[in-house]
Amino acid sequence: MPEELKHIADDYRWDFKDEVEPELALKGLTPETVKKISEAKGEPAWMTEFRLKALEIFYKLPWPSWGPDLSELKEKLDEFYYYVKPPTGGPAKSWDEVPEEIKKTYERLGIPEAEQKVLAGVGAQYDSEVVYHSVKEELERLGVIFVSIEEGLKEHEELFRRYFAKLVPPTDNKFAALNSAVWSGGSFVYVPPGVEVEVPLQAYFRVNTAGFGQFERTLIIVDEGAKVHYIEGCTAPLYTTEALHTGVIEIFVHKNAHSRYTTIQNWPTNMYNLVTQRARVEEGGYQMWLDGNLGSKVTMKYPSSILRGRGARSEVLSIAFAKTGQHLDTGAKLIHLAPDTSGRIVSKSISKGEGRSSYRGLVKVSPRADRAKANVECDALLIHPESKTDTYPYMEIENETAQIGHEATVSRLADDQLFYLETRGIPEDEAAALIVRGFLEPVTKELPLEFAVELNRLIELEMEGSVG
Amino acid sequence: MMTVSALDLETPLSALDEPAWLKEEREAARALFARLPWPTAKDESWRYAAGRLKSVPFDWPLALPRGKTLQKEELPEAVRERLKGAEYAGLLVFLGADLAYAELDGDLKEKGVLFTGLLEAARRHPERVRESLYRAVPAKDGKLPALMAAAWTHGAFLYLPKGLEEPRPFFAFFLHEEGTLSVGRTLAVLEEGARASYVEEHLGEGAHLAASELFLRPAAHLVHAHVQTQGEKSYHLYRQRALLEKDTGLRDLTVNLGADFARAEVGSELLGPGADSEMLGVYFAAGRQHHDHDTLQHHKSPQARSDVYYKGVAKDEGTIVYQGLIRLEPGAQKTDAYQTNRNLLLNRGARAESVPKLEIAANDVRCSHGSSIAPIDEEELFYLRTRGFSKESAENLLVAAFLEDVLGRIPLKDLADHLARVIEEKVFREPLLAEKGR
Amino acid sequence: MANRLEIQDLWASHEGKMILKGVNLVLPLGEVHALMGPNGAGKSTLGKVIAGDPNYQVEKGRILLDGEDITDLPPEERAKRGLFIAFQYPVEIPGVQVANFLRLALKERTGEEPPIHEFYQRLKEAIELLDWDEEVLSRYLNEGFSGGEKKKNEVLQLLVLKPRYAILDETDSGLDIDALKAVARAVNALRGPEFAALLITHYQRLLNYIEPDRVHVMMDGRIVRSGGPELAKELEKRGYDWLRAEVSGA
Repeated sequence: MPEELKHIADDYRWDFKDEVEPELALKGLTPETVKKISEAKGEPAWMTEFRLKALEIFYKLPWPSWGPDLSELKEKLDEFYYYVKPPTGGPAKSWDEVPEEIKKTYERLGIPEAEQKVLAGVGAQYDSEVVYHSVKEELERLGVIFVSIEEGLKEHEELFRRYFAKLVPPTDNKFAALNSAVWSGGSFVYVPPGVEVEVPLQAYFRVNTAGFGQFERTLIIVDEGAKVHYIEGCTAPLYTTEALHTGVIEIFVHKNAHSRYTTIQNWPTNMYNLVTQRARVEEGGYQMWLDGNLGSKVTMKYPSSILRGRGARSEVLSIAFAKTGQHLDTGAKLIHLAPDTSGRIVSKSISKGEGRSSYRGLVKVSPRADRAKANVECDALLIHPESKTDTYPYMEIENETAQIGHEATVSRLADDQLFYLETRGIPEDEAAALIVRGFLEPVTKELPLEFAVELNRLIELEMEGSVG
Repeated sequence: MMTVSALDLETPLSALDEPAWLKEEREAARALFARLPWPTAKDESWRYAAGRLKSVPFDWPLALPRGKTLQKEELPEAVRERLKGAEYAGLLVFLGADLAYAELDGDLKEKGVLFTGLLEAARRHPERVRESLYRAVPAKDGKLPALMAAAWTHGAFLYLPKGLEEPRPFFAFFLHEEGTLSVGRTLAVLEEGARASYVEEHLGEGAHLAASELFLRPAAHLVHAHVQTQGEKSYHLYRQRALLEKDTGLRDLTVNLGADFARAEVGSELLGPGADSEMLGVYFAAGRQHHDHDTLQHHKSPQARSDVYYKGVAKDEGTIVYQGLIRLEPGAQKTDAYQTNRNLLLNRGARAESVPKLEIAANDVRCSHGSSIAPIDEEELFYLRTRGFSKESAENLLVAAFLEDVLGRIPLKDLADHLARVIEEKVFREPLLAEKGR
Repeated sequence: MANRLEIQDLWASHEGKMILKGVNLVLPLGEVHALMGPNGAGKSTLGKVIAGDPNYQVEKGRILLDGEDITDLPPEERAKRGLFIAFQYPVEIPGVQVANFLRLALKERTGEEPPIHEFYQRLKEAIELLDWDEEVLSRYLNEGFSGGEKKKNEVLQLLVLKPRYAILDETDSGLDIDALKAVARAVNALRGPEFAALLITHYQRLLNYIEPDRVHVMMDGRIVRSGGPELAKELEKRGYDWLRAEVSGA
């Protein structure tokens, strides 16, 4: 197994590292670090206080008593960099301003291509500072705000403050507290009432300093009747020391608004990826989470939708692909607080080698949520005899008119399917990739085209030499 | 009467007439009990039950044997009612901690079948008891298992020698007494190829802790039922583990209809190829009852099968909880494991929690689980009403229909009919609390 | 007015939408009427409202059964007074055996357990009349039944429960010719001075086997025309458009 992984790693075209010297790097988790981050960003006093308070909360909150093993992470907390500022000095307005070195990186990641095709604007995050950011005139004309989170705080402080940390307060969980203390980078999005943004907003994230933790923070507000699709993709080079990523994403979906959040993460396999994603959906609103988890050593991520208004809806579609050395603990939460709310969760996981993928989910129906409906489907595909999968679905139902269902299946890469495809002249590896792609199809069909293509390429790479 | 509670065990239990090795085992369990922490809501399995556990009166005096016996015609009405027309191979009736009545078919006795009180068996057949006791539900499993191991005073012992097949069921009735805490323990051992049915029913009041250890040696088959219909101010905490060796079959039914707070932890360890554990559950919480269930299908061997099918109904402010885990150890290939939990909520205020879990570490397996929570179907209700059924009758019919496929899978017709009647009585009973407006 | 089912200026809505807009209809005991009309006219709604479906709101008007106002009665009280509806889409109820269901339903209607021998005699006759297999009695109510079997099961209930007034909501749709004949045979067997039926149907097909005494045509929530059996035949030939033109022209 390790040989085979090495083989894949060698071929892995995103696995490279650039030579960019950081200007300012802050190591260690102390009030001083937090103060310096806030100072470097020129933040208002209330934010500095918020960060310091969050750090205190972080110290007080317990580590999760469930889920993946985080013991190594605990030991290393002080060894991470909590802030790294790249040498470009600030957000670039056009592609020309982006340094060559970084451009080259993006080129290999395919960003310019994507730009040509569908990008409305790019908030590309290099380390923790936004280095390149273009917003199409169209969006500006519509009054849509799509800027870095830092710029959001500077330029739209009142709006920012009204929503920031209202959905995921620092007290929510230990990693939300950590993020609240040291957050850096991320996007701020506001879509005014009735505005439908036709093209997806995209942001690319990169991590590039050894032992470095990235703490992006994204705040999305979709006002009444508005519509937006936000896409976040992460890929990162491989390092030897453990890396840490804890993001917080808050989305406010107002009355009859429509929001989609798509993310595919392919962090290096020594990364701890601990993310809190939450949306609050008002009357008639809709939130879709599309969540792909391929990389990281450990991922803990459970996109949540709080269905607060009558008729609010949410869907969560997720994919996890866990290989040897990875434990992907992902899932979803639907909290039904109002009548006629509905939700759907589809989770597809693949475990390969000794990889372990876990689904952890919650469907909660409060006494007021008459006629709430939710359906959960979890399917796990196991490639090898030593592959592992878990399912931990929680259903807490306090309303007798609710209709809640959960189904899960576990299957393996079936010999008869492989054989059938082979008799039709398809080589074994390709046949395996084909079966895996078919298994994921209900989720991948919802992905933007270039993501789907990218994902399929990854699956082919992963399935090379893994059967037989 | 002695008023020493289970929390202070030394004095009352030292008086029990039992072998020294057993006293030692108890002593070790007692030490463990003193050391282990009480479960809290942070313990996954107790997530929804820890609050209710606090209401269990562990300080009630421990029920101890008083040497009370009964003649057959003196048996309590509830027991005689249940035995009416029933054929059985053996019968045990416990009043509090006393084995008040015991009966076993003479022919079976001769063939080496044992069916008696566990305490009596420990004295008279120590070798049979000792080789299995505490092997399936050891004290180290937790605070309550430790208490169960240290403080049991009564319970049934069933032993079937190799190859013996008995079609008639063995019955044990436990009548618990108001204001006491009683601790019972049942041990059933089926030697190679043996076949039997054992039904244990718990009636009466008080707070009862029960542990059952079931041993199925190769090719043994057991139909087992644990039925709890205690009064609604009582408490019932139950833990069952069955060890299934190769080619064995267990068909198990757990029923919780009574008690204020009842919890059943039912698990099967599949230790050999060909082992098959079918675990059924029926529960119905009304008033403020809380019925909590935690199942385990633990596959340690390849080529075994297990199937959990638990169905619950909640009415008034009743709470029904199901948690279950299918765990496949590495190497448990060619496993079939299924888990289904269905819940029916009858009115506002009723609640259900369902947590069906899988932990799978083998790939060539067929595993699935499903769970649902739903109200009475309005269309079905209307349909029945157009046929002349009153709302209550229609609901009753739909509840019976909902539970039918579980009760229908237990090959004990009399028991299924009895349970159907108890359930019907609960459906028709006036709502305990005024239904809150929408 | 005894011995009739009478609908007086009935208005009813579903989820805020008015579907019945002043229906007037009289079904005297001893007669069989057909209720026809294009899709969406409100025919099935009328059946459900008469049966007391809580999903429909009566806004105005009355339903009289043998002179008694049953508009606000729960469905089971209507059933006990001799009303029966054969549904267009009967629900499936797993866990309830057909025979047991019929026995309990009879008990609910009369308040006493039907004598076992008589009950089984009745079941047997009904099964024979429908040219069916007794095996159906041990199956769960409609579970796994084909569309045609479900319809036959409705008619089986009709035969066993013996109501005085029956509404058959598109019982003919989804039936092959043999099943259709069996259903017609059953209804014709029930015909007599103590039985009345309202056949809701799209087509003349069923009426070839059950000659109606009267035919009513419903459009947009109202009865727009009533006549003898010839009206059904005319609709079969000419469709509904001419009638629609006449009605809107008038």
